[in-house]
Amino acid sequence: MSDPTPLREKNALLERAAQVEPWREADRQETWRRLAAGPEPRRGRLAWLTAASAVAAIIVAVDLGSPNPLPQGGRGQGEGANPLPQRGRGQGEGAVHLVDLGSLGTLEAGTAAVYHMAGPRTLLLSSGRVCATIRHRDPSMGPFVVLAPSLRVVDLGTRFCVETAAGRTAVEVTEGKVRVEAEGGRSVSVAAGQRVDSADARLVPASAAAPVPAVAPQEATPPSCDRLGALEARERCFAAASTGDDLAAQNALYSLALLARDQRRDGAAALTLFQTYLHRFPAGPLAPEASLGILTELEAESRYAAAAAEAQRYLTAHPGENKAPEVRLILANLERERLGRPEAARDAYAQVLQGQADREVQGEALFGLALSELQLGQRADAEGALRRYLAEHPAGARAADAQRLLRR
Amino acid sequence: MSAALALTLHEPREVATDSSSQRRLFDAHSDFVRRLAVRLGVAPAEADDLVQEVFLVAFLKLQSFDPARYAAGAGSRLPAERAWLYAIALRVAASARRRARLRRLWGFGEVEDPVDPATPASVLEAAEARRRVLRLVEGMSEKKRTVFLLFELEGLSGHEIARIVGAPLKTVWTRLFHARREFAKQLARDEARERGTT
Repeated sequence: MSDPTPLREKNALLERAAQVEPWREADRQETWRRLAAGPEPRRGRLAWLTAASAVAAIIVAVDLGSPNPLPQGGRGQGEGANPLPQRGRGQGEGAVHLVDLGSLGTLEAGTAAVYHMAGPRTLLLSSGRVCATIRHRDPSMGPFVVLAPSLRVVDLGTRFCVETAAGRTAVEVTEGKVRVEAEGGRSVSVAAGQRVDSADARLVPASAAAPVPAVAPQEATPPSCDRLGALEARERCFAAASTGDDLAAQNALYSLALLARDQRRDGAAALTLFQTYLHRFPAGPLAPEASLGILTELEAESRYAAAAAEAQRYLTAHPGENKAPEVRLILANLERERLGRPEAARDAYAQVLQGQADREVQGEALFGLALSELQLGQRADAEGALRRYLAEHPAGARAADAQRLLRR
Repeated sequence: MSAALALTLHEPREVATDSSSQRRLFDAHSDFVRRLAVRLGVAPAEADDLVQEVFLVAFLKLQSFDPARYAAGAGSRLPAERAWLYAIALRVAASARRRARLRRLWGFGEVEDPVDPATPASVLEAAEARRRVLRLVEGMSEKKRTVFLLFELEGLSGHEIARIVGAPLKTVWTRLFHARREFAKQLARDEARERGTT
């Protein structure tokens, strides 16, 4: 069978749309330069994420490779399940809590540790000390990774602890070995009995028995960040400004997340920063926006179950927000299109219709309700919803589809 | 090394270290990847970033690239390497579009390209036509939209599209058939609306 004649040969609109001006050579070379020298948006990620992490104390990303073995919504202090005896490491630890990582192993979080389950593979730890024991590592699942201020720790099958304060991080290995990577490309293998400290510019492993140097408190930096021109300068400024607990600190942290998303186009970093905001300021004035940011990035990463959970959390925490109907619509769409749960979708659409949503959202919810009913085999109810749609939205975006479905 | 470190933040695999093969790949295909990005609806302001992202992925996967999987059939001039890059670019662009869609829903602004006063009218017209076409295909499923744009704007053959999207040729034609029908319907509606407002 030969190909059909392209429409553009007789459609001027398509013919014009196909014309793309040549890429400017200077832009092409600049893109290559960024690729060859280290891609700018990504290369910057560690540098400013590190700075932001100084605010959050520590961000631990646990790459588990298995569906969500950790408790969801583990916000708060030391929310592990079973208290364990004191291990005698770290300062001021009274006890540790055990978090089951499934077949992978366990994570012990000190009572001073504040952590937050951010997704199936991500644990945010805001402060304190965590120790991981990896018993069985399936190579297909990828490594167990700890991302902390100044350092990234890649487990190679082992037991190790990460401790952080004021943006400084130390890694100590008890068994096996880990790879520790620092900003600027430095990387070192740390074996059992050794530790590295981000304060050591050479990143040389030392004996774990060596005394831990005192961590100096960070000084707050007064903000005037928006006036700075260079992106990196603004990031550094916002990171420094977000050290406290006041409104200025919250604005700075949220601004960092926006820079990551809108300027760096780095969704993963933006997600981490939004999550950090919510973790540090769960009742902050920007918490609804941070939650929307999380939902957006999770959906963009195709992490639909986590996105639905975030939508649900938003609706529970902010039922009166003006974006609540849209969030419920998103939740309903996720349930129907991505999670295969038409019944849950139907309930969510119905709730949108009972609320104070604007006209467009109402129309989408009504059409989604009809599709859910069809999926559930409720043809009569679906037809009722479609007719109602056509009556209330005769020129709506779904009108043609509604008519087609009714003709079937 | 810093590039490798940055990459491993989310992708622990090693980057292909043969920089000459990376350079060759970039030189041979970067223009087409960017053109494709723009045709698929990525804002020109973001297209350079998308090119970068596509090649980052490609460099990571270069060592495991299997030309046989994308080998050209009879009558096709599309090299395997380019078909492979098409597939990567489609995934990256789809992800960018999903993100943009959600941003719009939350009321966050689009990234707009500053218009250079010296831009020729033909370029502006093409951009406007592209915006309109992309708006018309916005409601299509990702699969239909992809086939439609690859066939109608990118000018690929059905066989080539089938190789890129990993679907049987018949499926490609079915998707194109439905996509064309939806496009015609949307275009007619759009034109009727325009007539009604003028």
